[in-house]
Amino acid sequence: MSGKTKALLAAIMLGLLIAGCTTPSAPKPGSFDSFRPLVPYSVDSSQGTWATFPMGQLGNKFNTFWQLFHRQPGTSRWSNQVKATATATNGGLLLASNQTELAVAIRPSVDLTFTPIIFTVNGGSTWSNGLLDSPIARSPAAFALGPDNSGLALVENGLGNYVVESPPGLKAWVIIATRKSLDAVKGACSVDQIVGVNFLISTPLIETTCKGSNGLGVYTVDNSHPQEIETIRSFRPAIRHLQLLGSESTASATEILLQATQTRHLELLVETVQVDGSGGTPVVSTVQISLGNRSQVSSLSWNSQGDMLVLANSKSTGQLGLEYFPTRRAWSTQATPSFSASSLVLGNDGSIWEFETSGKTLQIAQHLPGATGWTSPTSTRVALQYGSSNF
Amino acid sequence: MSSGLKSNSPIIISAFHQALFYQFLLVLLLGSIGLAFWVQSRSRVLRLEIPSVPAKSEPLARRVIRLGFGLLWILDGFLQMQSSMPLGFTSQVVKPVASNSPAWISTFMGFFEGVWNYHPVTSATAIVWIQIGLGLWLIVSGDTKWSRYGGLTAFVWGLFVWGAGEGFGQLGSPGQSWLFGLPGAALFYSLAGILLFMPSSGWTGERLQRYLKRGLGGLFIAMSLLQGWPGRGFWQGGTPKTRSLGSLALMIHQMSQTPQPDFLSSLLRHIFAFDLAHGWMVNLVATLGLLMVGLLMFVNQGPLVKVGILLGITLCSVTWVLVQDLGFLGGTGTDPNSMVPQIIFLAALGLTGARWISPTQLVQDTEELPEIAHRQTGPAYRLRVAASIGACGVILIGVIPGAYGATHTSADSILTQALNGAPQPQVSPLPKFSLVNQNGQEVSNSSLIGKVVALTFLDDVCVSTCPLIAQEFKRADSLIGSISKKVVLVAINSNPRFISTNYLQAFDRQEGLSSLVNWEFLTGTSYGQLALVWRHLGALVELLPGGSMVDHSEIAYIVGPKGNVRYLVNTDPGQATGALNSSFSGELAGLLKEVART
Repeated sequence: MSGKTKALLAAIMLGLLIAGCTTPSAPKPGSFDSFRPLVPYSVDSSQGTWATFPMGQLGNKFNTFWQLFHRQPGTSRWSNQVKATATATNGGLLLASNQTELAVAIRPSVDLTFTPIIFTVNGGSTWSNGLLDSPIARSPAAFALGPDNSGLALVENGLGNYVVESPPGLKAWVIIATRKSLDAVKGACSVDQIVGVNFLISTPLIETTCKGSNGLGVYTVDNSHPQEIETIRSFRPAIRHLQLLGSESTASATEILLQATQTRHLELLVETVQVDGSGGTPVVSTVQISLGNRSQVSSLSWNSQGDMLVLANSKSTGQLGLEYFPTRRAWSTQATPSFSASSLVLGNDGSIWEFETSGKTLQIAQHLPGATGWTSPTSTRVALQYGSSNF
Repeated sequence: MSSGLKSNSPIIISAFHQALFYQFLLVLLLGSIGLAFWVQSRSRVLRLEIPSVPAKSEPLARRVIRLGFGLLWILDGFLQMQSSMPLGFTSQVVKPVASNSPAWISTFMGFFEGVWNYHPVTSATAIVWIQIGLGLWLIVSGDTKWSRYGGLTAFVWGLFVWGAGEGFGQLGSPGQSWLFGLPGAALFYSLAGILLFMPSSGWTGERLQRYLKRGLGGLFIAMSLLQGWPGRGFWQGGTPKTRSLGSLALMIHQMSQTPQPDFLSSLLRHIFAFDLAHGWMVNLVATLGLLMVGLLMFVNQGPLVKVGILLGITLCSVTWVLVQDLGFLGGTGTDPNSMVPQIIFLAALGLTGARWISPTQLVQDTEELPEIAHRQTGPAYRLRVAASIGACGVILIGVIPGAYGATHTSADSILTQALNGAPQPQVSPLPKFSLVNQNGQEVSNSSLIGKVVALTFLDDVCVSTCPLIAQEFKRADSLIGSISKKVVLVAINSNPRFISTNYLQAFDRQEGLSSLVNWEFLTGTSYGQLALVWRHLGALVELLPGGSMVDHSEIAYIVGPKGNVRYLVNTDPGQATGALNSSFSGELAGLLKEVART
């Protein structure tokens, strides 16, 4: 081969090489996230109804601000209490309540790495401060209040996730369970992640995902000794993905809401954990409902009786309010929102509010018990400060 | 919080022009010394009455490359004088290239980008003088030995520019093309340098011509393959309404948007419209044109090679005007892009067939030794040597401060002053206050007497600016060395809700301040006490609606040992780049040192 031919071949190879290198590659498949993004959430207590939901530019995390709305019992007027957080709420707010207290954990964002906590016992007239000196997890079930106002939190940091407990005041947190300590429980499932916490009456309750299966491990912790209640494996094998949407406690039981995904099909499962009549081992029961293909849960609301209202978006049925009644252990379809709602909020008296957010504008409409339709929506403008959380 | 530094910051531009002016005076001084040296040496040579001997001519191809690239380096040096260079060069030139390059190239460029961002004025002036000096060196050195050293320097500097500034011509990056500048203008500058470094024997015979032909031919064929490669967006024109533009149309469109004379932008708009409608045909012409030029370089017939050279020069010229838009328009263009260097190479290739030595030299061949002796002592030779040394001096005017800046890890304080203004001198006493620190111990204005104090306001649950300001204070403490013993860094909590000491401790742990012995994060035992201190110290604190952070004054007081406020400093971290943070730390450290000394 002559020098000239060699040079020609080299030029061709170089061209092919550069062309090959510079052809844009296909996008990588999305990575799995064990925690579901926070959804609008509301709780109802003797102090009234509390609702948190994001507003602003929802595609830009620096310009997304979670709000904290409150309604006094027996009234239909909502007031924004987010100023009480006294810091940026871009990371989201986690609500925990019992009959006497409402606590708010402000999820850290940007350069903040610990978790400010505020709580009120008088419907937001005055607030006190707790402090969790670690980042609280993104799980919607990462924060809970016990009947004695003690707190439970799921922490997510570089060391993995673990569960901490604090006496009332929510300032003196101690670790009560880690993934490792739960994994060491004999006979229990091999723990993948701790995904949620709550109280079963006054005992800490912990939920985990299990490695190698789509099971859910449910544990109680007594004096830092975890015990497994049950590994729920009753889900269909075809279910590819299980996520915890939230959990709430009532005086006698704890409800855990799960979302099970099978390809594009979605099911909701309510796991009710309660102590049996003899006061012995807690038992778990499951009620499920199918939401169909391409569905998703947009908001979650609980009242103090343990009734749960889910706003589901489905391509086939549109927006739907689904309510779960623990006394009847059944789901039923409630009012269809009158406009494209961002969240539905359930009151103790059975009334339902729909919230629609668009940028800085909020619309609220009410559906009274027994009524056939919604009230005319009222519109409010929230003074969001875009650009205040980044550079 | 301000939006940050803009490339047209008047403070930076003024400092840049001032530095260039002083360095220009230095260049004039060097020039005068060089001229004096030459006049003196010339008269001494004339007194020796050495007979005049015709000088040996430099090969024409070499001369074309030397003068061509010498002029290009000078042009590039002048382009580096544009006002937007200090703050715009990295953001508008380097960063877009780095972000479009593979990770290792991006990391490599990031190092030099960092140096530039930390010392923008020094770096910008350094490049000006290095490139002007290099260009002068190539032009004035003729065919002396110094010319070869100039070539070597051009090779090294060109390679550096190719890597650090052009990301190795963005080889391996998607969407690149010969039309856009692949394989990078500086690569040609560098190759020209290595050719000039070649001994004179290398310019005789046919070997150089052969290598040049194959090299250029290979390049054109490779670029033709790349241009014609399907799926890279060059075969489509586009529809502007749907914002779906082919790669070439997009490039021309972007070029037409840069500031430039009307006739050029009008011309580009026409070409853009033509490419939109006939994108496929335009790419076919470009691909075949490149292939044709490349293949003609591989034939052995001189006339065909000449056709190839002419075609190549035409293709380069058209691309330079119609696609690359002359390469340097728009405010941060640093060179005329890759076409002019290729035209010089093609022209040099065309001239490699010309006579290598002048007719007079043919006569003098038998008298080689005396001629060389004369050349090395003759006035012209001495002038070239003196001028080359002067050009080296010009380069050093850029290199020395540039190297000094590169070895200093703290950014220039002019950056923070451009953002926040200069520190304001004060003469008032520090207002009275009494608060508790993060450990619950009382700290008051009187307990700080005897120490130099940097006092600021920080929100203990702030998500963005306060952690940065705290880090800047921490870094300033590390910069002042042993003076740290005389200094106390004080922050007063500016959150009206989270005022307990456990929040201060959490903030300290988050920022790694717990072990800093002269760090005092102060708070009140009640909101009322804290609010009073804010008022006395002139700090505004406001709870914002809608889920925002607390808004508070971003200021710091520098207080002398006698309790007098000496300076008021704006602590706004702006866009909080590493350079700005470092710059503020440097400024703060400088003020603390100054106050501690006086």
